[in-house]
Amino acid sequence: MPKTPNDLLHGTLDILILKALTMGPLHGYAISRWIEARTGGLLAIEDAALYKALHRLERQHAIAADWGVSDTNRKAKYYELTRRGRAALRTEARVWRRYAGAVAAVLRSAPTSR
Amino acid sequence: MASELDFHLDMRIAELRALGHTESEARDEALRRFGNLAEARSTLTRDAERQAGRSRTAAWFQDFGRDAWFGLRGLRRRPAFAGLAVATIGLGLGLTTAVLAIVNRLVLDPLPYPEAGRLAVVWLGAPGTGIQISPTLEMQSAWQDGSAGFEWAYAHQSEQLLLEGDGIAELVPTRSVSPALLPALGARFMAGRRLAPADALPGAPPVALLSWGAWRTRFGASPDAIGRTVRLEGKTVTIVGVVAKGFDLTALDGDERAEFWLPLDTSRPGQSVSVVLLRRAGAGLEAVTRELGARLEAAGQPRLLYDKFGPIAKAPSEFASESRARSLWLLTVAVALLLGVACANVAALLLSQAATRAQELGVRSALGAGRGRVARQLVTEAAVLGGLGGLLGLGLAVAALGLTRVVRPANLLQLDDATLPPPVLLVSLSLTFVVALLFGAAPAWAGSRADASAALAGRSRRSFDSRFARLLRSGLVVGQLAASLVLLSGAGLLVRGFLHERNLPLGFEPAGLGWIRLAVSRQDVPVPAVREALIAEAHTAVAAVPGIEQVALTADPPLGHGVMESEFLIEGQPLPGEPVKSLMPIRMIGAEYFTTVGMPLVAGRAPDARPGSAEVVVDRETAGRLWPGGSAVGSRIRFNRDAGVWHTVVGIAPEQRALIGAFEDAPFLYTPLDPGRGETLVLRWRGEVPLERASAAIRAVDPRIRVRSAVTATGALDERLGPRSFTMAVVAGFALLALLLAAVGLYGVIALMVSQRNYELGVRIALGAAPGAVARMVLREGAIRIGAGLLLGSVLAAGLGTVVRSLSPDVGSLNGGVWAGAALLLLGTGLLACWAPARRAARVDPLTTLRAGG
Repeated sequence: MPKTPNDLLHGTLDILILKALTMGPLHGYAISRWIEARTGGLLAIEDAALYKALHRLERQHAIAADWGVSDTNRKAKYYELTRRGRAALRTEARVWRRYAGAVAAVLRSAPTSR
Repeated sequence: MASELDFHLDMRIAELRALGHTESEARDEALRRFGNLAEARSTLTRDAERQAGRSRTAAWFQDFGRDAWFGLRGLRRRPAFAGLAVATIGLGLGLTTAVLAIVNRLVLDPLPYPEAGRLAVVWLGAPGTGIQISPTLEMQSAWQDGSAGFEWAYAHQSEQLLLEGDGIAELVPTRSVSPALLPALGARFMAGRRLAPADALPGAPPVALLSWGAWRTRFGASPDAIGRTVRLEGKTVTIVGVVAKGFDLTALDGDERAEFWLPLDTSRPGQSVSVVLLRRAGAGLEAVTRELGARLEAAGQPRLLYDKFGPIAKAPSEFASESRARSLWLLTVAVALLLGVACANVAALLLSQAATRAQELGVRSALGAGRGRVARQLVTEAAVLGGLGGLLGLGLAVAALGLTRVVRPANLLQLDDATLPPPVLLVSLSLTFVVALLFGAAPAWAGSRADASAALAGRSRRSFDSRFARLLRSGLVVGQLAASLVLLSGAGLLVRGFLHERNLPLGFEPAGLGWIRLAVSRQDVPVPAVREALIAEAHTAVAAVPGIEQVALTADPPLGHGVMESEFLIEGQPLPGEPVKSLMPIRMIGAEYFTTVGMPLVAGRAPDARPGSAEVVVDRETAGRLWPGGSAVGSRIRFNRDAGVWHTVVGIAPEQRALIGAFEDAPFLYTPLDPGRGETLVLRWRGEVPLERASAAIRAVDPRIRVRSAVTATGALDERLGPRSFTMAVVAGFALLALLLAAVGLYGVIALMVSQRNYELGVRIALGAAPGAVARMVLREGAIRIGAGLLLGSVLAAGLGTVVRSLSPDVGSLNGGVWAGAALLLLGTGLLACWAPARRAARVDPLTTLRAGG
């Protein structure tokens, strides 16, 4: 469960990256575009933070990186999900949904009288 | 890496430009969108470097593992080569480890007592002679309470005593000690009490402590051993305590572990004892030596025994290992040479394997493996071999140490618990790696230079077996032969010394001869006449034992002698101006001595055995030297200028120079026994050895007569020569092994040469060369290498000999005969090794080789 704002940010970004990679290997730029597209432009991730997150996930062995060639014929680093990453995604998604549900429930409830 | 971020930025810029922005706008926007570019770059670079480092290490280990596995599989495919190489390494490393363990246990391990560095032993020495004798108990009592330079000085003495009970009579090793010695040397006690000073007083009830081993084997480690009694030398001794496991004085003097510890009998202050003392911090041996003399004077005793021998303090190891240090040094050098020869063999094996594998290595380098990579593979394979050999070597070392324990040479008794302690294992392990690298390096270099194109073209092996490799192989063999020569010469010298020692004229016939040493304590029998009568009775009793033909009473056994110091004056010869006292060996003998030991007199007769008969016998060498004209018999001699009696020389005995040691030049005399000096019964028997029966007969006469030891002449001789023969046997064994390995190496080189020059040989034979000539040519190649090895080896032997001699002067100089013998052996073995390849060369069929092409 995310505890501090930093954790919250990290946690959110990590889930988004992991989810992005469920479709297959992507390079960093593509991940950033995917997140922008899927959130309808609402979440514009600072790229520096994105790359920090990518390398953190790589150190944790949630994703694996390899060099490849992009469709513009340039050398690019591609990331893909590992088994560990997939399992982490499932867990974190479940936690997130429960968290979001709890917050929504609180917000939905009637205001208490002062 | 930074290029990942560049890619990202370029993509972003492209996207923005596609939306209509200008280049610079797009760039600014992209940079803004990115955030902290510099920080990101540095993080990425740092991460990437760390990653690369880890994967490099992982790759290295992977490569190593792959090479090692590949090497193992390769070895399995070449079992003969692998077996030979592993066995050779195992042999070399195993023997080296065993010798290291021995050296560690005997030289490097400190004495197992607290403050061992400050312990010293005391001997009586006379300047100018090499003789050392033991101090007396009386002297030790003057030193016991210490002085400015030392804290205490205690005495100990080993003895074999007769243990009796329940029908068994057994000589057991014991030690009599000053009661305070055991706690002072850190002994702990498991049961009962310690020895107290009161136990050593005359008239105190006899007590003893058991060693832990004796407690276990003789009393089943039962607590009620305390208070039990045993009969030692006829006395009923009560056991009052048990010494804890692991304590003994063997480390001090190399004598056997004692089963019983007794208090020293203070009623005999003139008895010889070994003395050990503890120096005070800061006091040197010279200072202690001076104080020992001073304390004797302070106690009213004479400073010198026999007016000549004064106390000297020495470091314990210095005494105990005179001969031992020599043996160990020789063993270490010998095993190092053997290890070198073994490694050279394996290196040569690997070299020739590299030549055979040149094709495979050529393919590897053609596929892109760099020289370093190929070299690394070869070194790894060598390391695998080394590892396997090292394991085998460990097993061999353990077996060798076990064997040493069984053989038990007398001067290496401390080896009973020589194991492979961690330091030795560590050194052995490091040696294994060094050795593996050493013999893997050369073939690695040679193999990595394999010419890929030549290999793939499948040209004859000769063309890419580089000159370097061939030179190296020959060089290795020459080195092996040289080392073998050195070892053979060394072994030859040892053998010669041993045989010389053994063949020194004994003068008597050792078969069927033995002696029993007796003692009657003054405490038990104070009257001298009664003591003599008891000995005479024992003499008679022994003579009556069936099988014993003759018995003679003497002061010392035939291999020992007393020492007399006096002037030696011959009637009729001019007196020297000043009295010149010299030390000479003297044997006091009773009636029938010469016939008992089997020493027929050369001239004259045996002396009249009655005391006061003033007759002597000299040995032949003395007679020749002192009476050059041959007129010894009938001459008279006197021992001291002043109050001496003239003694008549009545006979001449054959020389008995064996084991005389320091007295080689002194005159040798046999005189009749002085009263009370007869302590040894010399026996000659026929049939089986009657020593036990004789001892029992003596005990039956009177329990106060102690049997101190009973040995056969051959047994005593073996014990004296034992240590030398052990070293000699081991070095000779190493030498023969080295010779064998060198021969194998030579065979390998010559055989390879023959197979490589197959074509040329075929041509020669086709052109009309006789097979004999071809064979001779091959032998000549071998002889060249043998000759080089002989030359190098002789130079090395001469050099090493000087070094060895400076450390142990009694190793003779490189005798021409020894060198010639070693050289001949080497030449013969070497030529024999070349015989098979020479024969094969002579049998080369020119048709087949010419058809096969070059």
